[in-house]
Amino acid sequence: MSVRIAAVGDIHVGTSGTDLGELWSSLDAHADLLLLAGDLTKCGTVEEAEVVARALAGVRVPVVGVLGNHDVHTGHGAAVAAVLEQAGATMLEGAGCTIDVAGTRVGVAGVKGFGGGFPGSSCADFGEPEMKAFVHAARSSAAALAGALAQLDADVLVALMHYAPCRGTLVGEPEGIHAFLGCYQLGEAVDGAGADLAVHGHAHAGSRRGATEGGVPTFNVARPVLAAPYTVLTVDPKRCGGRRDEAVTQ
Amino acid sequence: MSEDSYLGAHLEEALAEDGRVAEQGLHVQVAGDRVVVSGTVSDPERKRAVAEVLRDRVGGRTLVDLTDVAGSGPPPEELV
Repeated sequence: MSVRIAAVGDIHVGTSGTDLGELWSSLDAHADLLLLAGDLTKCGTVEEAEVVARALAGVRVPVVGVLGNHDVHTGHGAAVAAVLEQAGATMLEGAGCTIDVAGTRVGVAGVKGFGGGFPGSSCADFGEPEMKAFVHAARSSAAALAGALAQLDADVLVALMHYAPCRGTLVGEPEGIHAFLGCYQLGEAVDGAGADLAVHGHAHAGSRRGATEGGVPTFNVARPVLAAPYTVLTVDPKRCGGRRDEAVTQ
Repeated sequence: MSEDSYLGAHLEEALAEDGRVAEQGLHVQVAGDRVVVSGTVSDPERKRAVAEVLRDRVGGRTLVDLTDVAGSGPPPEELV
């Protein structure tokens, strides 16, 4: 039986504006779980998180999310995550969880991620302390994702990030800002774990579909890209696990 | 880089940093007495805030708002 994964990021909820609860009201009929790919709030305040929490109150399927850069802007990322956890979401940062969907184990590992760039235009751990800190943030986030993916025993393995793990889903964005939209180290973590798919947000002008360097299907679910309150990724478990089987054989 | 381009960069930064908007993906182009803003915002209220933030900073220039509001269409589906 296929697993239907609803996903969206970059909803940028403020304390007033569009009622996402209404937009998500039919989600349960179309999906078995909901992934939130960060930038759930406008500026990362508890008040904004409470608006997201109210919208989640009407969603009955399991909800798994990561924070984005907007959610940590005011320095209250942990409090934002706590409010969403209180509303029933499982918020991940360097951690994973497994959800049973009618006997199929769906494993989700998540991190916010960071920028740093892609082969040919990536940043190196060299020079000013500020540059080194930038690169260290990307590398440690990717290492946390790799660690979280490695812990999961699942039929369908999903990597959930805010920042992008590949260039393919950035097509449409100015190349000059790719290094601020994602980093190849996240892709290395996705590929190294043999994940079945990767989901991210952050790139509002990017493309919906792409793939990591290792060929893992990758979906940019930023709401401006979807032009919809969420997308539905229908995953056939029979087509999953191949990359992990190859790794065991090798 | 012309002085118009510098102003465009300052305005893009203002749209990202002003809490009324807080959008990093907006593009502002300044051409003489016209200021054109494009990109996608989350809701109609945020679109009004874009205009507010820019009007405070563009003086007598004409503001052309080409921003879109994020869509609420039917969910696109993907097979994996």
